[in-house]
Amino acid sequence: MSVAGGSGDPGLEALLRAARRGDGRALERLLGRLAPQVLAACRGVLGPAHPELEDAAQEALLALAEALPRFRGECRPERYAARIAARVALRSLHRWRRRDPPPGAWTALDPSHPPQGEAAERVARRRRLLRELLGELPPEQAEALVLRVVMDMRPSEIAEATGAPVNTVRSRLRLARERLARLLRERGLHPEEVHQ
Amino acid sequence: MNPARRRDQERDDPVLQALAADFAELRRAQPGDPLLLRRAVRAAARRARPARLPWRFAVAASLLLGAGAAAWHLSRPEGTEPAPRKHPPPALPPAGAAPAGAQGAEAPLREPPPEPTGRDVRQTGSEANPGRDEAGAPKRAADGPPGPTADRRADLAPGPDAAALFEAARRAEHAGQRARARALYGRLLRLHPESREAPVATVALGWLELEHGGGPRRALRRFRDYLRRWPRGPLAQEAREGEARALRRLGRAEEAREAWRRLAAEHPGALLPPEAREALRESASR
Repeated sequence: MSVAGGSGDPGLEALLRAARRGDGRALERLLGRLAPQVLAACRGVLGPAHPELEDAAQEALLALAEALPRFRGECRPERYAARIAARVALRSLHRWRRRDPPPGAWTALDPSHPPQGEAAERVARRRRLLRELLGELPPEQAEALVLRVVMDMRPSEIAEATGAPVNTVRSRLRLARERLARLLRERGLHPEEVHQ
Repeated sequence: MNPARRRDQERDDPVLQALAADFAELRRAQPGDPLLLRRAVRAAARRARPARLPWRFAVAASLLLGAGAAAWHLSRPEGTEPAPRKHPPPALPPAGAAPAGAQGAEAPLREPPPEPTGRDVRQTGSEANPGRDEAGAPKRAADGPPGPTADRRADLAPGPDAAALFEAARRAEHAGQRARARALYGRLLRLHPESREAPVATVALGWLELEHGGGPRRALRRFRDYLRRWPRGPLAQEAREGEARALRRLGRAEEAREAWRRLAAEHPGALLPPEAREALRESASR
């Protein structure tokens, strides 16, 4: 029987139970198990070369530890961790934007080094564009977009992690994608740019 | 293929799919990750778990800032304290007294029998509790609404594997369907006692029995079974705490104190509940 939302990992479940009952060592081990997901979300949102990447990862892990008592097993712990990390990373990104970074700063967050050719540069450029545009989306759309694109979660998985109905998630993704396409056109880039 | 996954694939936006491919590289581990993660995890765990700080800090704060500061530190956010029990345990009987009537007419206190394994569900259910059905759940209406029909059919289908039973039990437990969760964990342990899910199921079932209807005697058996089979397992602390509480509930106060002492000795960083600290203080003063 396949049950959506199950952890499928009794070891992780054991750590989760022990951590919720105050076992500090279990908490550290649990955070260690979920940390790669957290880091992937922060790195995707902020960029691999962002100066505050480690701070954001630490804040996300702390937020995860504090949210554990409220976690009811509605989705896999890894996805719950990804959702929390996405929110923390988006907040970090917004704070960084409010400091009005210079134009070259966005490129510095996700440089292609060493230069790996035109295709790799296009990929990095699209990632940078997405980061710039995340700050202009409503929070729920930005969160859904991050979980879909940065963490490659399916709409049904995003629905489990966020507690929203799956049709609401699809609607948010569609609206985010439409806004993305509009903003790309305003910058003189056709949405088909993404496919190249 | 899972129907939900098929629907996701059929309706996925190609632009979003392409962008997801762009981020694949960043989802993969990078060379510097292990060190970065170790630092971040340790720092976050330290900040989330000031385990050794609250009591010392509370004493120092109360001296410096008064009772108001001590109350604030003692009411820290949820994540830094053990999650509170949803249902407080029943009132403890005086030390040495017979167990309360809520546990039913019980035989004189003695070491519980070894955990039966691989026995028939009906036989086990009828031996311990005539009022229980085939799956071991009480025949009267249980707490929480019944689970989805599909889940029930899957549960009763021949040969459900340990993973399926475990997931069903987890979902029932999280949904507050405790009788159903007990039945499913129990079934998992009867059918798959050597599975990788068995350790967690043992402790989970112990707590359900202790706090939601099975009784402290059965709970004690579960916790001791875990500690016998997996003495260094990740849930050893939880099992020791359960053992101590079950003994206390059974009125075996001296054994409960010994269990708390063992817990404190084996898990020096453990956040002990007030009754444990009181028990340790009583022992120290003897």
